[in-house]
Amino acid sequence: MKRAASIILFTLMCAVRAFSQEADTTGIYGERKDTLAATVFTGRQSTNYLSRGKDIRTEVISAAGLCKMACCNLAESFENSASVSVGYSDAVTGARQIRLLGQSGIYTQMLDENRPVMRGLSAPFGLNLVPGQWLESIQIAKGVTSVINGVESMTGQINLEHRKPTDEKPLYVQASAMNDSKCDLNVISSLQLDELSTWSTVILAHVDGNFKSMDMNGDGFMDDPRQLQFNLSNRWLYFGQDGVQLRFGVRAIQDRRNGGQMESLGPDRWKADILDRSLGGYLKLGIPLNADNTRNVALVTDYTYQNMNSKVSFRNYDAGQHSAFVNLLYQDQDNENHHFTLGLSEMLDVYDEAFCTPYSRRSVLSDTGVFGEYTFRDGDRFSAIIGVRGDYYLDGGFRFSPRVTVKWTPVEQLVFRANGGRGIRYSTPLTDNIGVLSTSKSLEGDYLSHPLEDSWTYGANLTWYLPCGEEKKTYLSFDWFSTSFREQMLVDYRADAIAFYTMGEGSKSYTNNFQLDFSSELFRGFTATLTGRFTDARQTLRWQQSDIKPMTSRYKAVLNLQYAARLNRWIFDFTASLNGPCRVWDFMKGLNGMYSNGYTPSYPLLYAQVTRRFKGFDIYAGGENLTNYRQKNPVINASDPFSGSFDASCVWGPLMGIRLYAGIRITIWKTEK
Amino acid sequence: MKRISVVFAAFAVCVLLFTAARPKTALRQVKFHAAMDCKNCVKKVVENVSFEKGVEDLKAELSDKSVTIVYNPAKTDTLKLGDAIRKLGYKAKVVEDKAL
Repeated sequence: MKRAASIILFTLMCAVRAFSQEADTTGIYGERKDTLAATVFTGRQSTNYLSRGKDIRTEVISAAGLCKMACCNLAESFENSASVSVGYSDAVTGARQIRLLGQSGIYTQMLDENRPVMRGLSAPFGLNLVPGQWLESIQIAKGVTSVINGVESMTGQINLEHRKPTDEKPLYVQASAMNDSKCDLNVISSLQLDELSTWSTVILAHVDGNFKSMDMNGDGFMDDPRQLQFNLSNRWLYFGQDGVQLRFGVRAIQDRRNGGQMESLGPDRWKADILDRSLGGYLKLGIPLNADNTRNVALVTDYTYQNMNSKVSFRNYDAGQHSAFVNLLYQDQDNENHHFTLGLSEMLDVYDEAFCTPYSRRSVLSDTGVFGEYTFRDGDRFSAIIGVRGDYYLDGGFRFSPRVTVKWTPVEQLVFRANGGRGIRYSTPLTDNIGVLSTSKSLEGDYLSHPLEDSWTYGANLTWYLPCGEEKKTYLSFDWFSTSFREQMLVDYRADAIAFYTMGEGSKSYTNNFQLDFSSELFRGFTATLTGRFTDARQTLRWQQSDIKPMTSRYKAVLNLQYAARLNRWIFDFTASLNGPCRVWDFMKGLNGMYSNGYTPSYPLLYAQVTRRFKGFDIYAGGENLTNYRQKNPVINASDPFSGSFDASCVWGPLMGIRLYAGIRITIWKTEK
Repeated sequence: MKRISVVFAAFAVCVLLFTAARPKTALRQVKFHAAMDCKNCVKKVVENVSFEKGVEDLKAELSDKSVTIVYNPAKTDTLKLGDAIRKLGYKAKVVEDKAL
């Protein structure tokens, strides 16, 4: 580990020396195609904003937004967003999970440039395995989205746009270090191989590590596991003169983490050792069928092999997953008003899982689908998208899923959106609830089965653009979304056991989510964003007295202030959030004198960062969790981890206190055309 | 709450200091016609020329392929600024240069 840290430090120093003479810095490249402002650049770019042009309510976190905080990986990229909450799955493995519309992130479809990713085994640590600096932008769409990529998106969709092969940046280097010994290094190179950029490629490399164990709360457990990750990707783009586009790429990841009790407690301590590896590739081909490209066919394919070896105390979970995705599309546009998409798809997952046994069990999950989507567009005033999809699920039978999206702009300042439809996915109970591995409780129910989960989501959004503020970018937005499950795999925590079961007769599971967003550039360079979210989540569980869904935060408010001095030479960021209480599991009430009212306390979080930009590089420094708020006693029965009541999975707040960091970003621009 | 107030106050002071800072020299404004043909070209010009010595403000537009720069004549001139654009691979021609 020390050696790896030295390599990172040495590489950083070499990079600074070698490249500090050449240009750029931020990689601020989120393209706003939805306004005329897209053609005008004054060195400032919106960081987090609601996209005006999208049919579905979409929040965009641009490259500039990703530079507001440490954002070492995707899990740390949502701190400015009230829509998405990020929390730890447990107090020992460092796994993160998101929540959207009050539901677990497993109901949010993750896309990598419109290919489904982070499914099954790759879900628990997936957010930690996407380096924030590899991304050009993140788009968070709420509610049900297009049927083209399947109907696994139940509460929304998060699409990740990576840095492009066509970026004229032959070298970009970013390195940062935190006071808790966490280090991060990214090297990215975009190369255009000919004058017309017919062929271009981008190589993305990442290494990060956490090299020191810390136990700030004195419970004998590491606050964050020791960890070392290597991540390498190569993406290619062919853009032919005849309009043919070919994109393909490969990616390899290895992530090793060692958590549990502090090493000082000896070799017989409680340990959590997890090794995650994956290898994957994709190919996307688009062929125009006529001169103006209004008719075309496209093929999207993706294959990933994911392997997880985890040993958490006496429990082992060793699993492999072959995941393949094929999508064949035909698109036609009669005129500017009517647009059709027809397609066939196959999503195949083969799991080999061994839990508490050396023998693995094979499960084959297959979803074969046929779909069609019709879009009517009346200029910028009105659009309607009607999508239908029929899927045959192996062991689940045929399911029909309709989805509708409407956008209406009655006057220029007002945009109304509504959408609704069905969502279906296979559950993967153990990986969907990876925190259960961090307990000594017995597991009950058929947690190795993969039943279908079925939900309906409806919602609406109203955005009012106000004629005030600098560049008239002020808006006020309100949205409501509701998700109701018909079939769902439920997890029920008791003092001595964790039960898995599917929804029974008369049981319910739903969430209502309300959110208000305000954003304005009050004067040149000074942007203020205020967001508030309220969630009412209910779920009928056998062993709980209330139907209020446990461990789901009731509200969250976020205030973000940014000031960018002229030409962005200095940038100051300040983010404060207030995280509301959540109901705890019944067995936690009064535990160690805590949660006597059945709820966790609300808590504030504070982030600040200052960035200084020079010709050729940026340096930045900041702090996370400046209020130093930490969840008390996150590990239940920490003094006796081998007892049946030990539980490290009941996490609702921050595990780490104040963290300070500093970093550098260097970019070399291509200087010849 | 005290920590939040301190950080917020520090943020406010930074904003006040930077908004108040203004150069004392009389500035000039030059408009170039630059052969930019895509959004990335515009960003490339902004991200590079903004950090040239003497540049006080900059705006680039793709619609008329213009780059408008407010500069401090005591520190730079139109020749150096034009060269900075050309170095990135774009032809650049002065359209207008005036005192502010």
